Amino acid sequence: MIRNKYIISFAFIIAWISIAQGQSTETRLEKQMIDYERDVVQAYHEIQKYLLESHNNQAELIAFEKLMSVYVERIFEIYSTLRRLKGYTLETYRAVVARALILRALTLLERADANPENYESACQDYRKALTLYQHSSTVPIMNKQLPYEIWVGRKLYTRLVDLLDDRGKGFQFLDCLQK
Amino acid sequence: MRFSRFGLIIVLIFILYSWAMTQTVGTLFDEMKAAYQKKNYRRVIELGRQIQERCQQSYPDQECRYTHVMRDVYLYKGNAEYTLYLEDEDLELLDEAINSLMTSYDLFADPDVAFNFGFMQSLRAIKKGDGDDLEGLVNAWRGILGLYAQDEWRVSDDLLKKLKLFITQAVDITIASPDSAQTTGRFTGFMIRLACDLAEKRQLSRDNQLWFSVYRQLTIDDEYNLRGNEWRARGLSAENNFQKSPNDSTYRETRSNLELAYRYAKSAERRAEILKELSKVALYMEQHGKNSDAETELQYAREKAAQAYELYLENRTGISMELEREIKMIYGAAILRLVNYYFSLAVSTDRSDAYRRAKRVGEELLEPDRAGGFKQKFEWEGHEELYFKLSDVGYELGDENLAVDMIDKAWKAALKNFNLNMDELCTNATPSMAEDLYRIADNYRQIAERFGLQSVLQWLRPIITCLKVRSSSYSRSATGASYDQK
Repeated sequence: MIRNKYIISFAFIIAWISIAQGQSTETRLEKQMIDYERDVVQAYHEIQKYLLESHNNQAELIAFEKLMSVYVERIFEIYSTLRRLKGYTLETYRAVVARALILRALTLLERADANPENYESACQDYRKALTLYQHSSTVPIMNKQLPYEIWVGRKLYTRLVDLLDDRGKGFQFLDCLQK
Repeated sequence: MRFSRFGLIIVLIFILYSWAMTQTVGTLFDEMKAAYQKKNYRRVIELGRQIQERCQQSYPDQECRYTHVMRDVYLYKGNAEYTLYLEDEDLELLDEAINSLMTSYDLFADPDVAFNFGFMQSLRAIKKGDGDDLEGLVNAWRGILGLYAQDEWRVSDDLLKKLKLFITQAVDITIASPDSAQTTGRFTGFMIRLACDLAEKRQLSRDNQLWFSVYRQLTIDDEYNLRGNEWRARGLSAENNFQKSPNDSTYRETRSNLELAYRYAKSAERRAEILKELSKVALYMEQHGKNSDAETELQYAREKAAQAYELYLENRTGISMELEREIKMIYGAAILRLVNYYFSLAVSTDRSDAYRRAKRVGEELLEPDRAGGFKQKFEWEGHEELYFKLSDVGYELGDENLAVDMIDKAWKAALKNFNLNMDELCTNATPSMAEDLYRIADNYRQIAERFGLQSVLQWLRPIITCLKVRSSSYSRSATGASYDQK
């Protein structure tokens, strides 16, 4: 009888440890995803400062674009891992991916005149971001309040839609959808 | 007989060819692996090329489709090419190594490989002086993030080493091609801050903490000016070496680094600081350097110090008090040394021309004092010496106004400096003060005698007498002390 009790409590401990481990992996992944989004926003801010100061050198702008892509890839990887782990995705995960994609799309559009491929990539990102919310009944990501501030020059933006309108990128994205 | 020998050769060639053809990609790969383990890198590259050729044929071996095989083929080949590049420094080998590793990464996204080819791309950019090529940094960072994730978001010792390499390369790229500012250093500065953030996620040793904080500071100073900050750091370090061994080579290195720091400086304070350093270095060279052209160095020092002073005047609020004091001191010293230089030329060249040049230089620091005379634009440590020297110049030129005005200013400045007034001069002046004051008073006497200033001589004579007594007692005690020591 006592032996059985031991076995049951041991099994309980093992089950509890594995659940806790699973949770900690998810928490860690989520934390990492948010950290990477913060890096995407930082890079976006740097690009905006750079654009305001100088237009002479494109190398740094291209490097920032590529860096953002590295982070967006990482965020996407974590998103896919979480989806595989849980079988579904939470609203927060989707929002992080969508915001990162839209910020990258906005960055790519900055150099769309010089590099037409950028326009195509930006459209892809925009479409991907919208697809994430295709069958969702929640407020579209564009109109949601951002969990961080975005500064362009001396102007503060708290929603992606305002940023899009103000930067004149909204119309270009509408073109993408029509294509 | 001849035919049979010819036939034998053909048969041999045929046998060799068919033996070569019977070697599959698999056996070539095994051979390559063995050669790599034996560090026979030339053979590794040769076998890698053979495998590549085999895989490009219409009907390639099945191993060509195995990712794990081909990934290693390109990895071994790339590593071998890089090792040979380190021996030969042939940039074509480096190109080959980068291409091989990139292919390996495309086949199997190993973050370590991404870091390695990113590192090699940056190395190539540094070697070619191509500061525009930032691709390597992006790829190396991709590798670093991958390794960080692979280690379950822990910064391992190996990752820490890679972060250090990454930061060092980022700095080197920023200043690659120093003569043309290809990049602003904004991207590299940003990357260094990211790398420092990542490194600081783990517990760092004191040395590492210092290392990363130094590099973080390098990116932050002077309005996030990594390029300028790096040249400044190099300039100041070269200045230290120059002061230890002042010669033409260390001097040129210091000056060119500081001039680059000036070119890329963003704030007025930084520009003023660098100009002051340039002036200081030129003054040091004139004093301690072998074969230095004194006039050129002194004129250069004067010009840079004057520019620093102008910047200070335009941006008073943006410049610290400490820097202001240093700028004034260096500017004053440069002018004084140049006045001394022209004054000393009078012995060997046209006397009046030398004195006139000395006067012209000295006048640069003078402005009207609203009492019919002139005063220095600012007070600096040693400003009484400039007055004193200019009084000498006035005396030699026969310029009464200049000589009297300057010696009077020198006298008053010396009294102010020692916190003494005329009434209690003979009672309160210490022997060492008396000796300094005696030197000025004696010059004052000579000027007064030459230009017939009776009223001055009247009050000056008793002062000179008492200063002489006090200063001679100082000299005696000093000499006595030296005898005692002997």
